[in-house]
Amino acid sequence: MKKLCMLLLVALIPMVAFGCSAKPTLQLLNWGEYINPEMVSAFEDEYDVRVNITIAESNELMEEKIVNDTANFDVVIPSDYMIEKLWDEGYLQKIDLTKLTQYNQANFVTGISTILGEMFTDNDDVDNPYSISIPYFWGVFGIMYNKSLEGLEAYIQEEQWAAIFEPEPTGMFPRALKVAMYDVPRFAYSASLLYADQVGLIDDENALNVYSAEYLELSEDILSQRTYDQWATDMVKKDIEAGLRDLGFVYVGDFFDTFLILTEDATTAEEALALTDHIGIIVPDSTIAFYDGMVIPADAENVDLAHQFIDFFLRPEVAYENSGIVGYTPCLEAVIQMIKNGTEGDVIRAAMASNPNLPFNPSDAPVFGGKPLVAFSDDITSEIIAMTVRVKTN
Amino acid sequence: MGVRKKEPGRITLFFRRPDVEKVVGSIANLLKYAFFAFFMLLMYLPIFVIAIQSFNQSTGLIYQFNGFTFEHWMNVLTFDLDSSLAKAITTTLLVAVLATAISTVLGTLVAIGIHSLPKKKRQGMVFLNQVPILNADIITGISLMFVFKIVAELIPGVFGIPSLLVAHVFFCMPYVVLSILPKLAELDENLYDAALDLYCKPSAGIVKVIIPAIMPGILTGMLIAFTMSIDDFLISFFNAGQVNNLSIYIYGGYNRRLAPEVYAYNTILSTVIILGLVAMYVVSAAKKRAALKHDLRHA
Amino acid sequence: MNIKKLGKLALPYLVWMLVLVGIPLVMIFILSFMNTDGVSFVGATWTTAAWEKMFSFADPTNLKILGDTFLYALIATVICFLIGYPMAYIVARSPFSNKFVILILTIIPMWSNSLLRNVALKNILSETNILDNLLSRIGLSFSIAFANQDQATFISIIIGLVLTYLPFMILPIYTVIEKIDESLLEASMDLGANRVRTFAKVTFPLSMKGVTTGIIMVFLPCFSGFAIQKLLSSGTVYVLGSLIEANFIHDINFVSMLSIVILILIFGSMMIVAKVDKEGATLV
Repeated sequence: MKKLCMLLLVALIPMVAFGCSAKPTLQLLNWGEYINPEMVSAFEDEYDVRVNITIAESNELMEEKIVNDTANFDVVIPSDYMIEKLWDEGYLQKIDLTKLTQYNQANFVTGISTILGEMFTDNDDVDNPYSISIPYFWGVFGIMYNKSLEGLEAYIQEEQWAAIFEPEPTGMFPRALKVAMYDVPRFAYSASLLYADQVGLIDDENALNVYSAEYLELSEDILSQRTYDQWATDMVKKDIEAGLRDLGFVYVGDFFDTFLILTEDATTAEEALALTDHIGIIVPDSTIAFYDGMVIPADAENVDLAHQFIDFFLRPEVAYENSGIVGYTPCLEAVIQMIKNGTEGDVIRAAMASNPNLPFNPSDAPVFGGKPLVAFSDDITSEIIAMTVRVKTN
Repeated sequence: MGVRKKEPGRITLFFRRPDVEKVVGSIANLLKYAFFAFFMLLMYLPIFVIAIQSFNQSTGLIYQFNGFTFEHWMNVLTFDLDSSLAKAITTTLLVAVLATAISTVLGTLVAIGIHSLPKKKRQGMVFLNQVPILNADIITGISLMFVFKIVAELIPGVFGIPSLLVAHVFFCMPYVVLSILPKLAELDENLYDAALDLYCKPSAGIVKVIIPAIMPGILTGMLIAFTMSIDDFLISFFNAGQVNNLSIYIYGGYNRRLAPEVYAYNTILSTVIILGLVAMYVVSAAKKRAALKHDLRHA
Repeated sequence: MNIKKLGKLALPYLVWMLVLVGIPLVMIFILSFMNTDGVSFVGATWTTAAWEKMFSFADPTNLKILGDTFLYALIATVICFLIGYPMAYIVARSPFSNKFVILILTIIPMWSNSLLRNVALKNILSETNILDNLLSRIGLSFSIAFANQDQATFISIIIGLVLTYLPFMILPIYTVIEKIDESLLEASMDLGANRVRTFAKVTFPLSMKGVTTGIIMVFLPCFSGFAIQKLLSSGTVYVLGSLIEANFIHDINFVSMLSIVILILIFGSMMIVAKVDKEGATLV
């Protein structure tokens, strides 16, 4: 027993030592596996500080951490609608853009400018959305599919959202399609309204950000048109790749992630394309767009350090290394060019980013039809949740 | 007992022949152990899959084996881990061991206390004890967070390992209590009385008489407590402050590219424990056999 | 009876539980009758909206979910009992010199992360799976075929719940069977009872307390959990736990109501058992 106590004591000492390190510590609240640890170490070395990363699984859990104030954070990386919500509720402070040596609005891709242009439009005290958040990664939503079923690709290209929401004509495919829906009620609601606008059930291209009893009923009818074999987020890409589902509503980053996993051993562009020729992604003409941005909470303790951290991740070479681990589309034009050009001999990512069939930079499309979601109130959100519960259960 | 005696029939007589009985007995034995082994194997199926993934070159797409590698194992064995992962593993193990130790000791005393209460009070306590087991983790997590927020007003710096530890003790203890109560019910209370009559202090009476008698219950409770602690996600999330445990790490990164080392870590943990148990079994079996021989020789 | 004096050991636990369980419980109860913004009472109003959302016959969705949850938990518990009792019995009556080690082996799988375990189960139960992928290299195949999607969902969930919570049934039953006095069994046999009768009249009644504990430990997490049900049904099945999970950020009042409903249902049924069973033999 005594030995056991000693053992525990020995185990405790390093934990305590962790806590009282003399260096200033930047507290980062981030999604898991969403930053390159080598770049974090590089930052620690350059500024002689420590970075402690706390992990949250979703925007809502990040919100809980910030709102409940059980810990202070210096930098947080939530998504657009959550940034707007946190700002409106007074949990964020403005970023001093003059402290960012790397910041230049013109350096961001056009898609980012479009999305941020639609943020804070009805908020007078925000004249520049970049002073609230600095974009980190971004993307749009689309339809991922498995090409093994003949004719499916052409069908989705033709039907767009209808491929997800309408039952396919009987006899078109040898068996019933197996379809996956994104399991975030708000996304399912907005996508169903994009479909309604596409097929002319309504004439409202901003419907994805509108809530009314009428739209809720419409959305419920649309989601009930067919039975979904899967309601999930993280499993959809894996199941489509394995052929367990034929198509699904996903975030395009999920597709690129799958692409990079499949091509881990590939050495040439041709090989990479051959390894991934069974999966595809199509982005409908109008879709949901989003970005994750670095923000500084109002109660941050190391505000200057937070600015230095954000500035560090705006450096093109750092952002490039970071995107190598994360795999999603970076926000800086220069970084996208580096990937397309195969900097450091990375022919695989070059093949992926410069493939005209793949929406690596969605703003390369002739018309960029991505719109960010605005935050709905809790009452509205719970109505939408209840609607999807009805759809699934009945 | 109103057991009717009737003349055994021919079939019964056939099965009562010693040679037949022996064959039937060994077949029954075989079936029994086959039954046990079959379900044991099924319970280990997910663990086999995790073990397979720990040797899989790429774990991003879960349905395929892309080639054998020992790299993930090496990274865990040489502690060549991303520091967040290393810290998460340390936190998980530290909290699980401490929470199990504390909740087992306290839970045992509490169970003895509850058992000694009059029936009505006892039932009330048992119901109260069941609440944390029954409550959704989220409810327990949020409730505890509010209590800790009040405490944090008085003692800053509560959120982190301290709050995590108290939260784990909180939800582990009910399982310990629940595991021990049935053993207490079959305890012969005269033994404890006898011990006190022989001038044992109550504390000595508990340690020397009651605890040995309820040991299997304590061990069961300890096992379940450790099991609940090592795998908790939601309660930990709300009460961890700026600390991550392994569950927070895995849930947070699963959607992207979860470090394959977590598969290796989980496999190594189970393998080490299983090997340890097998070794323990062999040693204890050998000891028993030696003791038996010793007894025979001196009989 | 000196042991009765030990009741004071329970007192600190009562205080601890009242603070950490009692106070939050009262708050949850109050919240379930209010309309609040999160957990702050600023600008809150009294309403029974949350309860109406649950017990509305116009929209029986939530009641159906309650029924489904109960059904899955009940079936899983019954199967756990049917498998777990014999397993505990086999170990207890086996000649192994250290039986407890065997039992610890049953719980080791739970020490691996639950998300990884559940994904692994989903993996095996899928048409395309990693075992098949490996076995196909040596000309074998492994795949569980289901008649249709509904059947696949139902069976997968039950398999997931049973394989996960089986140890919680085996362990408490084992701890009581192991101590049953062999001489009682011999006495019964001597009196002419056969094995089946001895088991039914002696062993089983004596192991009732372990069975109750096992049933509680399996049924409660099956009833209030959601991760296994969600993952193994590919998100197509909703249970009470998923309702709580989906709503807890946006509608704390609804979630509070759900927790109260769960508590009332479980404790209600426990009270009934306690009333029916006068001697209190099953409920500790």
